[in-house]
Amino acid sequence: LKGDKIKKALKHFERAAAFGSLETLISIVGELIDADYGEEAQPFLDQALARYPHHPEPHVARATMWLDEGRLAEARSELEQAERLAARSSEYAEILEDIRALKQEIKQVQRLGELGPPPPGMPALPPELLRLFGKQAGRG
Amino acid sequence: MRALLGDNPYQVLGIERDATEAEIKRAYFTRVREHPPERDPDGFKRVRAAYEQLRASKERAETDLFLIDEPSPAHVLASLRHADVEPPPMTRETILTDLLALEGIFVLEELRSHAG
Repeated sequence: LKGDKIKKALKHFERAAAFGSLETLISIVGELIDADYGEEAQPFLDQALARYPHHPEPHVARATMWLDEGRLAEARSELEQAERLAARSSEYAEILEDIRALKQEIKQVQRLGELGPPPPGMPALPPELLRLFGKQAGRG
Repeated sequence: MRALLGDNPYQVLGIERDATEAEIKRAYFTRVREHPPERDPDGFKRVRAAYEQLRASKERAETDLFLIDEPSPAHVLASLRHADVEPPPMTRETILTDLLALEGIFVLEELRSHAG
């Protein structure tokens, strides 16, 4: 039953992807990943990259996939590529912001991993992160 | 990647349902230090999936909609605020492709409910 269902879903997605926009392709990828079908999402992501090679969005989607998997080096390299593409046009200003936020997140994740678990009684986050969140909370 | 069915992202991150964006981010980084990807890849995936479900207002509104536990009145209001985003322009083509994609999403949802 499970196999039949996913085949049926994929058939619908393939038809939608055949003449769908980049946005459709990216949302199909997102839906499949959310449902824990990362492997099935891959061909749709490949299709997005092949059809829109100069658009940063599919690279961001791939970087997010790597980050979700904890593969930081791959995620960073994909984001570098996305950033180069996004920097070419002002229409990607919003995506560029997302890319930079993701790059920053990866940097923090890496740094926290290197720090190791906090000693007992000590705050889990380094002071600069605590200060940053304090500032954000104050703004909101 | 979204947490598997049954994983409440608020519980995974150890925060309240009405947590602010800054609180969500702080909880995420705190959990990352406990479950870094190099030492605990599965733990990291779980934490990251929970954060993905809550980091942006659109995703958070969707997550809140499907959470099974009873929401508080304050949370319902917060959820409505999160859902308040500008919809994209509609054309015949976007409606058609969205409908096809939606069919696929319905089948995925059925699959998820069977998994639960």
